[in-house]
Amino acid sequence: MSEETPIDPAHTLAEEVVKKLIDEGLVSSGKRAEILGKLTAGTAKAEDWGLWTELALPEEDDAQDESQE
Amino acid sequence: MKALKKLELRAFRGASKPFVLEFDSSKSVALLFGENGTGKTTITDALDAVGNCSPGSLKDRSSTKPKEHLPSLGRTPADVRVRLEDSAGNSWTATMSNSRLLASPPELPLIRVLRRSDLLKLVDAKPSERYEVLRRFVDVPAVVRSENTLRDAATDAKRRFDDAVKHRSEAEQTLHQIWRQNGSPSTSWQAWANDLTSQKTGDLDEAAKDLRTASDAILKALSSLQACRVAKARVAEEERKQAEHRQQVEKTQAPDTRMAMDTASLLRKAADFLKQGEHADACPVCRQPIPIDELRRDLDSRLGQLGQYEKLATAQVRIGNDLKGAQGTYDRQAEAFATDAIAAYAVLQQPAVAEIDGAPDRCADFPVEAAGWIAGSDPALSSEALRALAKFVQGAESLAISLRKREQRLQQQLGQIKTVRALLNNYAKAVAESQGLEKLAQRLKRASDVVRETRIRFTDDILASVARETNRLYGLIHPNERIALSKLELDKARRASLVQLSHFEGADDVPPQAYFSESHLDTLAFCFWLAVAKRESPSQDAVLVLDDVFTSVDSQHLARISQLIIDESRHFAHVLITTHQRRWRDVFRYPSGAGNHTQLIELQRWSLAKGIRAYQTRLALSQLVQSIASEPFERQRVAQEAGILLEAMLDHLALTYRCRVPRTATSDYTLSELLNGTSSLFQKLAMEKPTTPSDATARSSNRFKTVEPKASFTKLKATALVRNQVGAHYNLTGMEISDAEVAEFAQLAVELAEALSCSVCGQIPGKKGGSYYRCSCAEPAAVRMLPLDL
Ligand SMILES: [Zn+2]
Ligand SMILES: [Zn+2]
Repeated sequence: MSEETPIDPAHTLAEEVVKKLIDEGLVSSGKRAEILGKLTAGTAKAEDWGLWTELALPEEDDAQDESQE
Repeated sequence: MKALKKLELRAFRGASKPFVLEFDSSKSVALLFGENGTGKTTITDALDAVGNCSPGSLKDRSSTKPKEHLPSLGRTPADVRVRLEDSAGNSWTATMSNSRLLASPPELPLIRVLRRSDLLKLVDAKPSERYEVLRRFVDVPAVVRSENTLRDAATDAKRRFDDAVKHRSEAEQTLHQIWRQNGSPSTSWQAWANDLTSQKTGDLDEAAKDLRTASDAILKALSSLQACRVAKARVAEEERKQAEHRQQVEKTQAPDTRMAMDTASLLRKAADFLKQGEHADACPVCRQPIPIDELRRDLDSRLGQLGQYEKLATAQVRIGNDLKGAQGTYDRQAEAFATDAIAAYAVLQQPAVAEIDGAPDRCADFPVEAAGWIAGSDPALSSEALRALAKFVQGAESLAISLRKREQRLQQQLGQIKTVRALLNNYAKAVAESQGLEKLAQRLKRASDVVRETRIRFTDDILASVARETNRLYGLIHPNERIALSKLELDKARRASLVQLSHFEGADDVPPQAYFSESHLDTLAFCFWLAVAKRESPSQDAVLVLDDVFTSVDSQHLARISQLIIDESRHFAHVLITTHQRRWRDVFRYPSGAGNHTQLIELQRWSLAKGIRAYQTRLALSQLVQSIASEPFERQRVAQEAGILLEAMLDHLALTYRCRVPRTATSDYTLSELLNGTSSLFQKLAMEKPTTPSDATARSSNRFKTVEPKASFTKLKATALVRNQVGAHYNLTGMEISDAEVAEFAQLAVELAEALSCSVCGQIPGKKGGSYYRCSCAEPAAVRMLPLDL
């Protein structure tokens, strides 16, 4: 058996993962390219995930609830 | 890379002389046949060197060193050069620097080499070694790293959410406690706290300030009163001293004490005057001359006599001044006190102060005369008024204490409002935070699960597809056998392990090594390797090199493996098979194999002086065609070649259709036995061929012709004796056969071969279709042979 040549399956998997996360509305679709890049490179930090997830949070009526209290 | 074009070796292993191997790029498979010691492994190693920078077969042999054994005998590493060219004109070169192989350009061609030794390793591989083969497809460390940080983010969000919930309940508990301490007023602690904190604290602040000002004013007036009293005591003291002095003066004997005191004062002034500076010699008043020294002496003597009067005089002046000073101080203190007392009265009128019990009563004591008085105005306040003020201020002392207490209560109240407000604020913040964090934590957890599940499924899918493909390939080599790979899975406990399980008869999930025969294990490992190699070559850019892989495989399986390789070769740029088995070469050389897709190369005996030498092998059919046409006509050779070709074809048909031929120990039948055994087959045999070869729409548009080889067969049967009489033995009857008859026999053999085989792939259809056999060409352009069974 011969030595490896780099065929990186990370990219294929990353594509699949990002698609699922966006379809479920778990991360911001605007960050697609960034997420894909960091996922493939293995450089996504916990803060990145926090931000991507927060950016995907739908606008809700929290503000109104608070002002009524 | 594209199909192989040319491989050039210089001073590499067995290539002691420069060696060039030309490939036919139009053929997907090259079969390199050579007996042992002809240089097959050198060629494989050269491809491994240029494709993988690997010393190839020397890699695993401890007794060899690449530095010494990669160069040909008597040559040095600097002489070594391997150059590979593909059909697109790309080329790669491998050279040696000391013991290392160097390749350029750095982007290596994709060449996958499978040797017999690799195959054996794969058969016995530990799960972790088997995993290594697949690692590059299933290993996704970058994604795993990101997956871990996502899980950390989810854990962190959950922790922060828990913290916020804790803060919320802490604030709630504290507020509840304060509410209870306040007697649980209102409907709930929340209603109470909201009510409390909605109060305007400005008024309370103001009131507290007024109370403080009032108590301060009273205290200040009290302290002024004290100072006033001290000043008054001092005046009385000075007056007493003055009276004492007066008595002393009266007691002193003198004609006139007062006069003497005055004289003494006058003389002292004169004496002081005379002591200062220069003086005129005459009196400035009467102009009489002044005997200055005499006068000085006289003054001193008289002052000595008047000494006690002078002391009395000095004391009197001092006592008088002191009394005046004490009087002044008292006046100022009285005035200051009056001012402070009036100011205190004014502050007591403030609403917050006036509410305090006793404040109005105290104010009633305030003397009318003092109202509106200001310090320095005339007339000064009377002693009665001052006394009344003193009474008022003294009476207010207890009031100052009440004011202080009241102020402290107000301050406490303010403090509580501030505390509750801060707690309520914390509570609201914690509530909002916990709501936001709850959502975030849930989403991060879900995202973490999605990534993990997708990654696991991704890996499992790859393994499942490799297992499926391995099984499919395996089933093609061993059709209808109840033995197959059942599962390839990652060892759950030790991640980088690949467990291989199989079916055997009724048993499921058994290790194949325990039940499979050697050749079954070989082919299983080969199919696994091929399935992996296919994944690596999604755009047909890998070259496969199979270096003498199969040794213990029988002819039937070898034919199926050959068919499999021909069929799978379209997934690769090129497939090179090396073998020392002549029968493998013959699978392709005779029309039982797809010879037209195969380039047959033969290696000749190696010697140091000549190095490696290769020549192209013709297919049996084209060899015969050439022999018939060549001059001078070699009748014996032609008869023999035609006979062997016929035997190979008829043997293949007899095997395919299970025709009746006499059994022999070695399964070698004479031509006449084969002709007899297959004659009933030829009554029925029909070939369906596209009118134009490779016509992809032939079948749908019915551009097919049916060819029946029956006529050629019948004529051949009549002339078959030529084969033995001319092609094999020495006999007299053979000599009576003319060249023309030999040529006719050979021509009939060519005719039959052309009728039976496909003109594109060169194969007699041998793959089972629905009701027919078909050749190696892709449907619908494949040639069919009917029927399926006799
Ligand atoms: Zn089998
Ligand atoms: Zn064909």
